Amino acid sequence: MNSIHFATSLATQDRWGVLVAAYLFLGGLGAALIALSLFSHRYFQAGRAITLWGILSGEAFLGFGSALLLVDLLHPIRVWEILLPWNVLILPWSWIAWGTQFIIWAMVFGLLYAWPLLLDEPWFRKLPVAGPWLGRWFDLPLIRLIGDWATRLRTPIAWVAILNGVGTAVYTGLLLRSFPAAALWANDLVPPLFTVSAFSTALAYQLLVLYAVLRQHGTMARWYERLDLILIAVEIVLIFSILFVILPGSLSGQASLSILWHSWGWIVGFLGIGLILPFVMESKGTFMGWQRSAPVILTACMVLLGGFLLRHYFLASGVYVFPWANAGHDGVLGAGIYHVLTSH
Amino acid sequence: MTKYAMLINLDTCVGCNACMAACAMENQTPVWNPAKFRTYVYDEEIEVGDKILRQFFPKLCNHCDNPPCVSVCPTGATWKEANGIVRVNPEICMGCQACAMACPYDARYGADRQDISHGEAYYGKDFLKRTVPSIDKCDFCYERLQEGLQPACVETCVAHSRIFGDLDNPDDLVTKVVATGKAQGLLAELGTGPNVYYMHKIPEDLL
Repeated sequence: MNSIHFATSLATQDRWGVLVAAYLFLGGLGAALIALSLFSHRYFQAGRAITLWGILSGEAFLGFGSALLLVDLLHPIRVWEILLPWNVLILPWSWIAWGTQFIIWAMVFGLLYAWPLLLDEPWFRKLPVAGPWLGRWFDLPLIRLIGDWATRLRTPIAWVAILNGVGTAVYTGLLLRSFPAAALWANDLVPPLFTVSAFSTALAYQLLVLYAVLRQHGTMARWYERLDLILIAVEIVLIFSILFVILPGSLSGQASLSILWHSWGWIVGFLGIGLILPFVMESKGTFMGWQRSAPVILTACMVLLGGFLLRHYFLASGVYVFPWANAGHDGVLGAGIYHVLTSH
Repeated sequence: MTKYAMLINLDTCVGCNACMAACAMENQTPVWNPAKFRTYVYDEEIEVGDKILRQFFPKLCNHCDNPPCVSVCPTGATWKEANGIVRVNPEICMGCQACAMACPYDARYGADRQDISHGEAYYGKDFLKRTVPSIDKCDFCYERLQEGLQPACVETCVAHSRIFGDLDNPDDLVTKVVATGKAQGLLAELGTGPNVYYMHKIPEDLL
């Protein structure tokens, strides 16, 4: 008889921390904001102000999120390797390679779409100090020419940005999906979950801007609220599907569940404040309406908090099952849990 | 065509850690950090029924047939050679650590700037092999293989626990043992196709 006895130890990862969680959150939020803003402006007559808020905020979130990832790299200067567009042709199997291109082109074409809107927006010209300078710059022939060109080609420009925005949102989930060792990540429902969450947070952000900044409570706001309610409902279905799919499965999945169900941040922060409560609040808002803006603003903030916590806890709760014991030399969860497997 | 593999006999490993030392000196790993070894020997106590079995478990990169580390790398810094060895080019690695996240064997670590400066003092600036931060892992001592030598861990193993071979050579001892089915790769259920095989015969009196 041939018996091979492997011990087992469980370990969480400490390589990707809060910076990467923030990158995944801001990347999904920013890309979804660009896609949502362009689609709303192009096909649902969204106003110039909310469109510019969405696009420019999306650009800022994508830029800041990418900067956080850059800080986390061992050798940041090497990032130029993946900025080159043909990198995806050389490495078409790498989701980070695709994701980088999605981010770049969503940002470039998002800005291009916003260009003529920016030139016509009087707010920028009225800014103290910078306003006159911006006005002169906006009136330069080349800047105007780009604006005219972007206006003529606005439909293809919008679709390139939208597709790359959606691609970025999907990529943030596919990235985790490509790590096979942790059952929580290697789950086909993770990319849809992260995509839905990205668009839900983008809708919440736009609601926040509409209610708190622009004070526009019109048709667009009501549609955004309804759509967000649907996405939160889908997110609830997806999150519980993932949890129940991995429940009867591997040791890795069960260990992840154990971590999640022992984390107040996950239970109260994400499930409670970031998911269930917004669903209840937006249901009330959609079916019965609110007399004031405060509940909508509060709900939007809770959705945004939930979006970050989802990614943070997903990253922190992926569990590796190593076929050796005492893996405690490099940060281990449950070292000393021995599980004997016997093969014959 | 050559397909390199390693066979590890868990029965004969005495846990002297000479393989770790040889590997560290050969490849100048950051020995000052216990989490940063290319190969590591775990001291295990396994419960078998009402008995406790002590064994030493050497771990290294499994040079998988289907390496998840290669498919996630966005720069092409990690790749698989035709001879089966999975390698890292530190000159183009940006250190995103996605490969380390994807590896089910915890076989990769990040060598950061602090490790480089420590390395200058420890190994000597003039002899330093690693000069840029990057991910690092076992490459079966690729440079030694080019010179016709065995990997440092194999050559130094006092108990002949580590046997290096070519799975495409039917006369190779590793090929013969693997063909018997008595040796087993780790976490094969993940579909990675590991090329480090472990064999172990539990003493009859423990069963």
